[in-house]
Amino acid sequence: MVDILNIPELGKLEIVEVYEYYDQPVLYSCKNASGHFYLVVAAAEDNQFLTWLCVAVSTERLNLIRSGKIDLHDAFAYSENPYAIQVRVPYEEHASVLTDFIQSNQIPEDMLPMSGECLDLETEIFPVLSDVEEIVKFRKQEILNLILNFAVGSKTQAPIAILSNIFGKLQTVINTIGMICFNSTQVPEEIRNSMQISLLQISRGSFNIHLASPEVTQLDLFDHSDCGEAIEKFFELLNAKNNQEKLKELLGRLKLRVAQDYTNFLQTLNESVIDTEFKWISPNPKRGGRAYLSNSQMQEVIEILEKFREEAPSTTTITGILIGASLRTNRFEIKTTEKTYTGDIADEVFETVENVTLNRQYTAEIQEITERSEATDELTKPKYLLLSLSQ
Amino acid sequence: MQWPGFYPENCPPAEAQPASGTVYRLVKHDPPQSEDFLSTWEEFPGRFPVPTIRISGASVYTDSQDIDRLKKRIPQLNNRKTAKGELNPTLGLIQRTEAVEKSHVTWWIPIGAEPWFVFEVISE
Repeated sequence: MVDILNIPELGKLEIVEVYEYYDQPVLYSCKNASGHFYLVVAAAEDNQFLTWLCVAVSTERLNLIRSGKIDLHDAFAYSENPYAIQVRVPYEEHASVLTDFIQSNQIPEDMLPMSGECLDLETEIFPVLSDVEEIVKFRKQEILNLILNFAVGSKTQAPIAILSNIFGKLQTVINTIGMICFNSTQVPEEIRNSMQISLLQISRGSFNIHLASPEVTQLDLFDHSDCGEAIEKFFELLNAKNNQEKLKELLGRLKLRVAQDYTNFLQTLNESVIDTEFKWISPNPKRGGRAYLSNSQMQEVIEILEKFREEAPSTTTITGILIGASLRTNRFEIKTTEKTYTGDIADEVFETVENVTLNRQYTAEIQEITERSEATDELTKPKYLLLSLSQ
Repeated sequence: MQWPGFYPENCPPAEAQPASGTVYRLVKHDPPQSEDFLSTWEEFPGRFPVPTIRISGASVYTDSQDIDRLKKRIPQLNNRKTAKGELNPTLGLIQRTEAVEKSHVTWWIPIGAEPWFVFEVISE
């Protein structure tokens, strides 16, 4: 502690927490006036000096050290900055304190706490975030910041029912995008796990929610994570805003179910916030970004998505009597108990239709296509396309 | 008891108790010497603007496991020897002080006391 709290390179330090005490604090955390945290240990002594080691730590890493997830040896030997500050305090009253930097990987082993020695303190659930980028770098997590500007009430409080609804819908749309990205027709547990977004913390001052993807031990060669893939597509949607053509193009690739889930998410937001800002910080330096949606933009996007869903082709299976089939005109007609379907025959079922017998019962897969009239902006009468036919 | 002149006002604190019991301290010498019982204020003259109650005293632990852990965690102390001593009221006042270590005790040693005679090194 002696003079270590007054290092010109770091500014005036004050002790935050003492972890070991022997005649004075010998292992402690401290912070400088600008709020940067440091971990300090009494590292060596000889006849002239008591030597201290000091490493910068992010709040998140400090919490990992406090909780014992990072041992004290690694806290100094593998610090976030590649160097430690060595402060040598002489016993001689008027001798100068010596400060120099030392590469973390060059700290002699006998100046480090023993491997396996861990603190075991409770970690704050919502620590004050000092540097999100440090969390991303350390845990290889995708971080999503969601700033919700609620229409009513305090800026620093939020009704949990609304929050849970927003979180739930956000998770669903990420899951669905993940499902499409990985060419799955369902959301199996494996995808659910890799897409799981967790609440990391809530910042003070505004309703700024920090969400995080699962921790990844190893990113792929391109620094990609599964959840990062899905978040990238999600941000493409957000940044398309109310651009109809761009949204159509994106959702053409992402399928109808994403449109449905994205609509649900926006509807939930639209009911409660004036605007929302999204920030994405990724361990991949080429990824990340920001997006902003005002309430009116959300409303416009919802309307576009609803039209898109109405127009999007849907496939249904019907069973009925084949009452007409013409290879010349490429048309079919099937009568079910409810209605008669008339439409075109898809190329891939042309051969099947050559061998059918009229007035027999068949099961058919047909696609219903609805378009919107440019003149009236109303949906046109559905058209049908015969995709398959079997008895 | 007569206390060193650098002790701040109200030091030792009113709650401190007469020294007693088995305690452990890390020392540089075997057998322990007077300099092994210096307070931080005395060890680093001129490094503090004012003495505080805590840096006027010396640290001892009542649980040897806390001392063992300290040696593993604090490289500065790793080469020190563990000395065991039996305190008695002539050696000053003690107070259990808040620390992460549950058995930490701050010990204020009066002028004229020779605590090194009641300590012996029990392990390197």
